[in-house]
Amino acid sequence: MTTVGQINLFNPILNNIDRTETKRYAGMGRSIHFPEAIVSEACSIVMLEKHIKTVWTLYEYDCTLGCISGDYKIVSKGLLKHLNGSKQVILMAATVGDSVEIASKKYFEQGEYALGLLIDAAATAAVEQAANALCAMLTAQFINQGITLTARFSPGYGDWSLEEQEKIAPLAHINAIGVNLTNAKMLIPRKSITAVVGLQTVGGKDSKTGCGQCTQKDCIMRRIK
Amino acid sequence: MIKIFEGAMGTSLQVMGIADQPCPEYASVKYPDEVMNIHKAYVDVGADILECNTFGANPLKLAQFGLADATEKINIAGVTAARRAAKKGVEIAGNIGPSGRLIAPLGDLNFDEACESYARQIKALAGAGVDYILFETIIDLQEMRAGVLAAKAICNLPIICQLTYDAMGRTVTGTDPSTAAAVLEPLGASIIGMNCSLGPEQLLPLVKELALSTTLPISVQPNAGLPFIKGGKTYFPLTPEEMGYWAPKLVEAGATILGGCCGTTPAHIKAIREAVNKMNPIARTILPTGVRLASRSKSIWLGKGHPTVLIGERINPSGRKAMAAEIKTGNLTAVKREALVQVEAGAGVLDINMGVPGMEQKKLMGHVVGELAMLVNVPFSIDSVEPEVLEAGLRAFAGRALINSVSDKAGVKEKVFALAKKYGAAILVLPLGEKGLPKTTGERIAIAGKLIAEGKRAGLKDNDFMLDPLVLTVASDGQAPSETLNTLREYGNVFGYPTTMGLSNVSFGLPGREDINAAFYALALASGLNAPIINPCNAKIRMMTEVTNVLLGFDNQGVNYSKNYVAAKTIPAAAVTDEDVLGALAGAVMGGEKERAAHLTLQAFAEGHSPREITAEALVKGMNLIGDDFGAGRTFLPQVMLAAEAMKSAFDALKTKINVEDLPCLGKVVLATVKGDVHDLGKNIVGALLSNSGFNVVDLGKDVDPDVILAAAEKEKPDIVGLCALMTTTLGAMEETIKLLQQKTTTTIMVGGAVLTQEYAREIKADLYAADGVQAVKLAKKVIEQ
Repeated sequence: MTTVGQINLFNPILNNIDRTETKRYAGMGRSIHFPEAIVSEACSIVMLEKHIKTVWTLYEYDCTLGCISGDYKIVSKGLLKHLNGSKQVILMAATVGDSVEIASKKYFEQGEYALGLLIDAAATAAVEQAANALCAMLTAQFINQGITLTARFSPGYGDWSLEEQEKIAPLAHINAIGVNLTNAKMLIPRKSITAVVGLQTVGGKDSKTGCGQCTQKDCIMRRIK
Repeated sequence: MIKIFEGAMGTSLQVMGIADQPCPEYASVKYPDEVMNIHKAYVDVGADILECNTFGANPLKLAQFGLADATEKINIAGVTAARRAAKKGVEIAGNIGPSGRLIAPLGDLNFDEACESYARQIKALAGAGVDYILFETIIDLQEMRAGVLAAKAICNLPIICQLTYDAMGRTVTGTDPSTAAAVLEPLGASIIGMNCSLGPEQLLPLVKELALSTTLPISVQPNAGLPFIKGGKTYFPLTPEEMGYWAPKLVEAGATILGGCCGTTPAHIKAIREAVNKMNPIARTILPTGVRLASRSKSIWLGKGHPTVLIGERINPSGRKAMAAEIKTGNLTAVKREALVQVEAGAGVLDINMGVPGMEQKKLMGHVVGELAMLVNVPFSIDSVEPEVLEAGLRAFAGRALINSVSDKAGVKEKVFALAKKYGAAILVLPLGEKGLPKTTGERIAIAGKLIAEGKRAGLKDNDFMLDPLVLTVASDGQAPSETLNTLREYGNVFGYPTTMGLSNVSFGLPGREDINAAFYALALASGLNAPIINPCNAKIRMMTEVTNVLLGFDNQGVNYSKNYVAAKTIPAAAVTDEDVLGALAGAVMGGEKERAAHLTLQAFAEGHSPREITAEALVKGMNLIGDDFGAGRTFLPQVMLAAEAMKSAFDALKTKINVEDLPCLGKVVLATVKGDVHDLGKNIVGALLSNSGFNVVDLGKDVDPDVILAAAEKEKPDIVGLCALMTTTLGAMEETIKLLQQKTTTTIMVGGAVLTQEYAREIKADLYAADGVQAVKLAKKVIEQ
């Protein structure tokens, strides 16, 4: 049983950085003529410099009002649809810390542009892996109660405005993992995310997510062109 | 005979509506008769072991309901209810579930705090007279270790360890059944098993895997399938008949105690009882001989019949001043790098020595072991002469470690044996007596034999010992290596335990040490060495390991060896003739070949090509071509950046021959990421591409105030001001900056960034919009041409 409103910390183990995702975040697609050694080096540097932390909190969700914990009213149609049928939601945050960013900048300034770029991409892959590891842990935890998790949905995705980060960040308890929000609604360290997942009963609706659903058609990380 | 546990307690309490007043465990205090009746229903259908209603009755979990102070009362009430229901011959298991928090560094719970919490619950359960301590539904091996250590410290009751696995056959924190067995059997579990999460069909292959990995009895308590909710109620799909169908299969797979978890009822337990009533536990496969070590997610065998395992020796600050100095400042980067590099090079185990002078080694060892276990998944060898440092490492390591090492030193060896027993660690026996180095094989065998006997008296078993034959320097004693090899052979004859040794000592004081070490390594492998403590990154050692794995039959038909051999071969670069040097240079830029680009630039210069010619006909040409490829989707951003690196390297080479002022300059660009935006990678990419295309770039950085950008524009008088914004939330700041620049200057303003579009750029009155860095360069060139 998980207590509603309780701050839960989880620092997942990452034994590697996903190379395929790293290349995708670097905008590489299925490029074949690229020195794999640079990708390896970027992944190794992120392995050394990452300080991965995640935090999650369970909240009641009123599906008809689109209201989380009686505090936050969802305006995004995409998110409302995504959470349809959920009676509870989990707000989460994940970070890889700021050392990765310092490393990326350092190499870029040294003229190792490709390495700097790939470190940035590998750090993005790492924070996504951390959030996935958290979701896997939560899935295992809730499956015994007949509950499954929807996919993650983050501010800035689809029509859920990035401005909403201001309201979501405190509910996700970003401070508990050393993440802060700037005046421009950006998370610092930069390689951090917040997200919401809905808790749904097994056999409930299968919500669609992914690049095909996103409105940002020009995104370089888009899987579906 | 197969023993049968009772079925679900929580599900029954929920059905009766007494599970949340305020927690299921408190029902034993508030509704003792109802709890007793649930147990009784299971006794009536043939359950042999009852599980007390104490699953969440540890003080950490009870604190969530303000009931930590009632820990003893709730546990005693739980045992009493079960005892009242039990008839003669029915046993009681004190049921213990997860604390609800993860142990550091995975979570924020201190290991000692977890041990104390469990100890308090176990003391209450043992005092109330349970027959077993049963840990169940545990998702993290480290939490199970904390529980078992607490149980061993409190009582001598048999300990049942049940983890919960997912459909991939691992716990949430990555442990598979075989690894669980490798850790929990030597730690002191009496029965190992699994419960919850999956149904019997999904647990069947996991039981089979476990049966091949442990000599202990196996318990299995599946759910009645995966639940679903309908009309606000939770349903479990598996009928008693279906459960009865799977029960014999679980026994045939190796289970000796069966039961049910969530969703099971007395009818399910009855069906299981009837299905296996006449069955007996199967005869199990004998485990391989040797020593098994494990991390949280991986176990390996060492010894005869198993492939050679390299124990990486490089995490040792002794004699490595830079590493020691870095550790002293609290920086573990060098240590982490060594861990990653050694595992990448093929180390199967990492030796960790934290002998940093002036540091509190105990604390440091615990911290480093915890941190490295988050980074790599190989087992560790905890290396220290101080028992308390060894203990700190063993405690922090969520696996089965090797203790490096024990020697015949009175007052210390007893403590080290006790630590190995307590933490379920393997131990490396070093045949060093109080009288100094034993020279002969006979002396070494005698000391090793004495230590092994003492270890066994302390409770250790045959599969806990590894032996070191002692490696002495050949330069000071020509017979020393022969004696070492002889000891290795005799170890095999007398004890049969796996062997290890740090072999580089042999060549001390001689030239060409790598060759001597490699030859000695091969001889030692032939004499029975199983796991050298070695630098796995050494090319000769790697080669020798790969070759001997083929020759000793561990790499069937040399498949891996051949694969690695081919991968290591490099193709030499083609020679460049005088005629095509500019073309080759353009090609080197396009291919991102930095060294070659620098070399060809100098070659072109030496051949009389002017800097302007080199720039226009080779470097810029190469960049233009790759830019075209990028625009057409034939190449990608990292390749463009590599080309820019090659360009930079060529320019740098050229600068060694001419004055910087003589390099052609296309124009000046001031670049900035706008106020409020902390992203600068995109802007840096544009800057790098511009400066390596011949522009003079003044980079103002990120989060730059409009006034600062204006001041720079007025001072530098650039041809272009480039503004970057990556987030929708900072587009306002971009608009504000443009307004200010247009009021006070006539400079051309180019904008770009992930969220910008041509339309929006027009709307905020930017002169130019670049969708990417390559386009930014093209547009900048156009501005200059005009």
